[in-house]
Amino acid sequence: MRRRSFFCLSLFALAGIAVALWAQEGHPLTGSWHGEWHPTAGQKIPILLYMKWNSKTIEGTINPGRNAVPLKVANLDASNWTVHFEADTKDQKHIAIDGKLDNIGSYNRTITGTWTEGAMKGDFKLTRD
Amino acid sequence: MKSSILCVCAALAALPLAAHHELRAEFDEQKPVSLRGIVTRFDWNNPHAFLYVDVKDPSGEIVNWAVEWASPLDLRRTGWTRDALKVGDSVTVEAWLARDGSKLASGRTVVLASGKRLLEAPDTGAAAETEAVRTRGQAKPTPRWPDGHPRLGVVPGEKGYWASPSASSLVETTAGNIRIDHDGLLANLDDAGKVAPFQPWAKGLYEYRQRTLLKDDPMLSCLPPGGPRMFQVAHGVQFLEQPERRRIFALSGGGNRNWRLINLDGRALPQSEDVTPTYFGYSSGHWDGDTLVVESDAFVERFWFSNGGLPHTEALRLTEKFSRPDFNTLRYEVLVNDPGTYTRPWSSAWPLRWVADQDIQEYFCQDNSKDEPHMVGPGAAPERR
Repeated sequence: MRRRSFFCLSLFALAGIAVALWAQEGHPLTGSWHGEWHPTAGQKIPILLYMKWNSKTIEGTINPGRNAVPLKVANLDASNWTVHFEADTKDQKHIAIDGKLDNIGSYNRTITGTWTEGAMKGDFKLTRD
Repeated sequence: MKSSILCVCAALAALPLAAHHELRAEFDEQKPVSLRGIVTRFDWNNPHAFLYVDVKDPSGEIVNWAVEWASPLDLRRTGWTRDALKVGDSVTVEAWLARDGSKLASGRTVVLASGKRLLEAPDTGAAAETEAVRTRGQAKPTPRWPDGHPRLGVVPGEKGYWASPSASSLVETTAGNIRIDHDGLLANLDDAGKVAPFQPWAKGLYEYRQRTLLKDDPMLSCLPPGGPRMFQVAHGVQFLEQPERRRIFALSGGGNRNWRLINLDGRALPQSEDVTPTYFGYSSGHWDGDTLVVESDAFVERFWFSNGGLPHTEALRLTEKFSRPDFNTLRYEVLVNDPGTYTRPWSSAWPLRWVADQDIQEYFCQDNSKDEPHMVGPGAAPERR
């Protein structure tokens, strides 16, 4: 019984998060972004990037959860819709992300560009949920 | 009197007929077409009436064209009825071609074999004159409740609602003269920075929405016109006042006959973490003399709060003032405070006119919506990209 209650509560909590993150129309970066980056040809590393505009700066987290990596730098240049993000992993690898925002009028807009993590570098694509 | 007629003319000219979508995003006024053929179907539905016509193309093949018109609510004002066109009628339609190259056009006029001519848009001169005649006794004073407060809605035993806003999009009061059409499209995109004190990202997004002819407007998906947009859209707004319950409902004739509740019982606005944001937010009002002052917040971000595509965030808070200086005028003022989008609070104001002896009509956008798939193809308005 207790396990079932826990399951139900978890389900409600997940649903709540999903609703809260769903289809925002305000700041173009706000929301959850899913995608992958490719350090080598054929290699795919999945990414979840969550971002939120706090009225002054963009806050963000790569892969929220136990291995979350907070963004240290998050900039949007609205004159050409380019973005630049930086973060450091727990094992001290520096991440630099440079990309371009496309289809910004759509709920499912995208960011594509170059993902650099430590010595590895590759292209990436993120789509907002 | 002359000035009041001119005023009404101006108000009607600004009347946003394209209640559901921005016409120029879907159709190219630079590409007129004349379609001569036989009516195969006539759909008399909101948000747009559709006329289907079999037309013989130059190769002799019969092609069925779909011709989109304004809402039946608007067409009725120009003399249309649901039986105006019948299957088998021979017609000539003047129209604008769809941007996506499909056999779809936006009707401007249709002429029947009898010579009878029906127009897409009202003859604003004649309509304004009719309106002026209707409101000629406008020296009527502000109607009041027994406690002395102005009535914002109808007087018992009468009909009426508010429409014809003189401004169809939100522009800062101090912006000066900016040319902007009834959908909220700027004539000159360089004026974007004058519309409101945007943060850089918000100006970029506003300009993007303008350049793409407002094709991403959530109202295309039939989402409601929250905030000040409720007082800009076609088909008007009505107030249902319940002083005994200390609340007022604002009923939208556009959108999907959405309604908004304004509490007048002194309750505080809820803390944002305690509520789910909504399209119309949470509103609490009080009377300041003859002016109803309403504070609103807890807005969701999934709508445009003005024609023209002004962005906002969940930090949006509105202070609105409603007053009725005479029987036929509603003055609406709004102070926009959204530190997530704008660099400072800013305000806008416009009057609405009383439409006497009529009620707001039923309007459901989902009734016959066929627009979204046709919006802005690759050939759309490259000059604005």
